[in-house]
Amino acid sequence: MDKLISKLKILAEGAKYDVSCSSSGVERRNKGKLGNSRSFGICHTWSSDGRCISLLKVLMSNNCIYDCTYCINRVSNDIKRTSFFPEEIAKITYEFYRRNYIEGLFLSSAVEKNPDYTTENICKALEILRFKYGFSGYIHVKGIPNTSKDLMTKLGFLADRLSINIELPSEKSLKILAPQKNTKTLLLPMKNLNNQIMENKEEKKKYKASKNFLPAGQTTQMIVGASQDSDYQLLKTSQNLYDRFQLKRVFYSAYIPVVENSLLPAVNTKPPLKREHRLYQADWLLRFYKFRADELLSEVNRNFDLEFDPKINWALNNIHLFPKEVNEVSYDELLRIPGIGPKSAHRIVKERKFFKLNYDNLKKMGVVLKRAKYFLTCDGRYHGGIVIKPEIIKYKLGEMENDRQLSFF
Amino acid sequence: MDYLYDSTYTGLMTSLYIHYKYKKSTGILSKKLYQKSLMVDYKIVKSNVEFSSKMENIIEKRISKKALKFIYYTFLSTEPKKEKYIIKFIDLGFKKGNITQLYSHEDTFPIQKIFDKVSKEKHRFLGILRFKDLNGILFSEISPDNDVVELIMPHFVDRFKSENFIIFDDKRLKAGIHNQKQWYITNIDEKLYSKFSDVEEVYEEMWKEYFQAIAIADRKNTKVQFQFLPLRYRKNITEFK
Repeated sequence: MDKLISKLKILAEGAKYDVSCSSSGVERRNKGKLGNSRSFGICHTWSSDGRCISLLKVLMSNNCIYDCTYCINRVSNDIKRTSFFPEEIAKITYEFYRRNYIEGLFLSSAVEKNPDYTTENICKALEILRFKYGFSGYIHVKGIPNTSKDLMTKLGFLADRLSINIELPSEKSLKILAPQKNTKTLLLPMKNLNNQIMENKEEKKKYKASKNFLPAGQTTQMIVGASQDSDYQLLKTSQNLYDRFQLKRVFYSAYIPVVENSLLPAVNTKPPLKREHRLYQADWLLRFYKFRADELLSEVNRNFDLEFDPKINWALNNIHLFPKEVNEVSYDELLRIPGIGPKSAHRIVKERKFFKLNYDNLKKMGVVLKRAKYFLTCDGRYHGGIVIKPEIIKYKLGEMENDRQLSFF
Repeated sequence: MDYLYDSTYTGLMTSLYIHYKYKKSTGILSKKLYQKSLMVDYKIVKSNVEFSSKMENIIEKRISKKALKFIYYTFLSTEPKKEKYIIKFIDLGFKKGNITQLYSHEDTFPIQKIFDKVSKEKHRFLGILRFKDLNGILFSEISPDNDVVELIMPHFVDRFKSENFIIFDDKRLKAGIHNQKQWYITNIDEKLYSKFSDVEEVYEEMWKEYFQAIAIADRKNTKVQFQFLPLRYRKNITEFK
């Protein structure tokens, strides 16, 4: 057992830089012996870095033949190497799940021997889990680039979600930092899988009993700060992936220097957490607020302001559209007001049918008024001061931001 | 006159029925917590299943099914003025109909807030509840702020349908029990103590090691960790013991 524990430690260490841990997107009752899946996703605990732990996130193996510069598992790195047997990983998942430690499994792997060998091993583990243990819970699996199409299809019927990590948003960066990968081998399988997901959906409409193919769709991850790529490039890439392949999520991972290399930031460089945060905010704007990447950034203005969030920045640059009257404007327009999110916009639209909303109503509904007050009127009244001017708003918000940051650190 | 009920949901519904159908009360309160006063007379209401289900039907028909759910969640909360809020909520509902659409109205806001709070805690326990293997029976001990055992049972009954399990609320000394065929809630008079199998320790150890290994040291942020997982919840969570 001690041996198994040390294996688990090594292979968790190797997996932890993959940020995705979400378990949302599928509602499924227990069809086997153990496990179901909830569409809203469930977090089971939070680690000391403040990240939610939902899935048992672990590698099948860290024995990699590739040499991607940014990765701790690259072949030229001097670390302990080990691999799970498929039965081992299935058993651990089963025992953890029974105790309600986890919501499911996130199985990834270094490329051991070759892509097909690696994916076959992953399939074996999932088959044992699904068929021997009757596991009906959530499984997220990593797609290994250059795996044969048949194997990928097999994987798609075993897992709920699959992700192929792009890591770098441009061919140029890939060439420099991950010479064994290229955009084509990353994007082609995503495209194929998306087609299969769509076909499966059609089929499910006709034959309810047909098997599910990746019901929780695909996701991917990009590293922030390892290459020279701009926020604009990253966000454009995300938007394309959402538009073309219906990706459910793009994750961003602030690069933590794990190796001394002239091509990369030095080892003592702090991970760009603030930049990562801004990208997540912008990503939210794409997915839930109907923004487009070109509204937020451009060829000239290529990176996010670290001082103000992307939505405020957009609003300040488009001040002629404000203030908006909350009792009148559409749901989509409400979403454009800083400090109003989908939840409060929803509440506003529902409640204003009954009566005219005042300032106090907005407060109760969860509108963040310290931001929103500059951009809205409530029953004709403006609460943001005497005039609406970007410089003044910026100054006032900046003061607030400073106070907040002081309490943060 | 104040109506005092026996702290059960049936008791509350019975009191509401009498309040709306026969004679308005000055307040509906739990017998257990009631403080007698010289100024107000009181009457002890006996739980009546028929009255209770009639009241439920009235709320469903005249307001909505969702409103009834709101009221039920509020009943499960620890909010001291919950009965007062419920009466105001129903009063408004009888006037305006489907008022669950209203969020910030003064008579719905307290109920909306309590509903959010209880829902949030229910959701939280789907994740942070931990089972231990007690020679084949899964056992869990929790101390939620609100009375959420009933709310979380269906989730676990489906998820662990081939398992026998017990979820024990050590604050209220009640337990949800599932025996593969059916589930029910029962009161348990004393705290449960039991021995766990040897293999239990092995998996706890393994999980704790995993929990340590998955954290990224360069991103340490225990403040956020506390925000998501306040201290009061940690005493029953394996990896924090």
